[in-house]
Amino acid sequence: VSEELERQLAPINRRDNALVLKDSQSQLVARARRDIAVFLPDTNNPLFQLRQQAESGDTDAQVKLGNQYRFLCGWCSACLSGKPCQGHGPGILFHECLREAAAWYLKAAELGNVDGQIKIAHAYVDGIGVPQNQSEAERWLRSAAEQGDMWGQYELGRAYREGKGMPQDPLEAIRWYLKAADQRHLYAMQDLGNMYEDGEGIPQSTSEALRYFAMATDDDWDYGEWDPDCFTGMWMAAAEYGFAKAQYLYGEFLFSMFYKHGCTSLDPVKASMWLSLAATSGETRACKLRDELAAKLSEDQLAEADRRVHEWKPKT
Amino acid sequence: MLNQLVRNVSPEEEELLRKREELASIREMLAERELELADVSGRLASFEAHYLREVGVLYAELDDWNARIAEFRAEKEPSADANQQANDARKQARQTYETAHGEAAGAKHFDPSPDLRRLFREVAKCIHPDLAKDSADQERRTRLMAEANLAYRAQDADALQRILADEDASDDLGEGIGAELIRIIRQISQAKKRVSEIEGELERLLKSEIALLKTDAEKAKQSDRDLMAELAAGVREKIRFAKANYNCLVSQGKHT
Repeated sequence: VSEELERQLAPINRRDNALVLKDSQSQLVARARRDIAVFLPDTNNPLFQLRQQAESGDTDAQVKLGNQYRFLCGWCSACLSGKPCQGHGPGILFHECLREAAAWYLKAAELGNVDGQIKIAHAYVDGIGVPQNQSEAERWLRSAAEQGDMWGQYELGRAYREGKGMPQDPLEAIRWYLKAADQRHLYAMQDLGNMYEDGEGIPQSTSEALRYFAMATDDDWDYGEWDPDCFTGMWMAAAEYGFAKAQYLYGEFLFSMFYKHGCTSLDPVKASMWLSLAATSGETRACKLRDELAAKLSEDQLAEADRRVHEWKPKT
Repeated sequence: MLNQLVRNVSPEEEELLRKREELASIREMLAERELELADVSGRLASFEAHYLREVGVLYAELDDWNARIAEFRAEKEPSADANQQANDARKQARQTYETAHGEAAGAKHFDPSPDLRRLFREVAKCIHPDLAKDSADQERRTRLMAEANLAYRAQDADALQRILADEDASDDLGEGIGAELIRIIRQISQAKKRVSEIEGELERLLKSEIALLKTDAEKAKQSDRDLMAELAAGVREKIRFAKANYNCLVSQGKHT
């Protein structure tokens, strides 16, 4: 077959036989496919399973699904157009994923789930996924707290302390923090200590502050379920007042940040000082760590640490 | 007698007979593949129309609310960024509206009867442009084939009948053996090319977003779920939230 013939017989336009979707059509369809990622009846689809549980009224699953939307979205049109769905920028208004998250939190909240109530309250405070609404925020926090859940009590106390979702009221804050602290809520104890230390809307009281700092640094606590990083401020404050446990914990924190996590802006001499002070007060765990640290420090650094230990006086 | 008969069939004639057979079978196959392509296209177009009418229009509504939110913001707190967002959001809303309410949404439900499918296969076999005798013939056939596809998509049996009735199916052009052989070889090669082209088209169609969505919908149907209805409900929910956001912004705007 000659090339000439081939050219003559070249297909004119065959495409019109088959269906051709315009880009805009494909985009609109692709959007649906993203949205149904959570509907797909596929047992390998964890989102589908979660959604089924959520739809059947499992409130924990509802909160988890809300979290999925809130933090792992990436497929709603706003996420795809590059607007981050975390933080508080103006782009936050367009996120369908955040609206969806809020809807699931609300559902769980209405069924009495404390976690859902706290989450939807926070959404109302910041206007994330729902229109900002302080009275709704307060209603849900109160409902969570009044159920007797320590997290609900802590969050309500915090809202009163910060004036988020309701007028600032330190006395109410303390009232709810105390209830949470009674249930061994470490953050509530720490916040109580901080409020007394700074005299935040209440008379300053070092003894009260120390009482709560002591409570929160009790050896019996298992820090495993709490994030130790949240306590470093308290440890530092309590260490200044001469609290051996806090001195040890703060010294240990500085030590591990410097040597294990490479935070070289921290001062190893300071770590040595706190560990020495704790060791002198009979904190046995501090002795071992102090010696371990001493082996790493130079003569000059050790001398400086010694000097600081001798000069140190507890804050009153 | 027999010897004489055998001697009378020249190698060219033998080749011609073989090629005629090959052409006939390829003609069958080509028609079959064209039918498959038309079926897939028709089903997808009909599904797409269903999707656009059920869900696409809701996305258009949602995008309109998002655009209103963006425009309201840009008006209240004008900045280059806010204006850009408002423009983008409005452009998106317009595009979604045009797509959801466009021509594609009008496609009828596609469910061709066995008779109609048989008829289309006949028509394709008879008028296929790749079986044209010359380039003028091919041009005419291409037009006819496009017409036949449209008629099939519209499930219009009468139109297909008319195309078939007007066509002279005879292959006998009174040409010599050599000329016929060349023509048939050319037709076979054209037809083969078209078959592989169709395969490419089918592959493209089956990988398209709309085909994937259709597969999802069919999978869901097996477990007694109506994916389009669920999707529509989901988008309605989103619209409800977008509206609430918008109304809240507007009322806040009034109080400040």
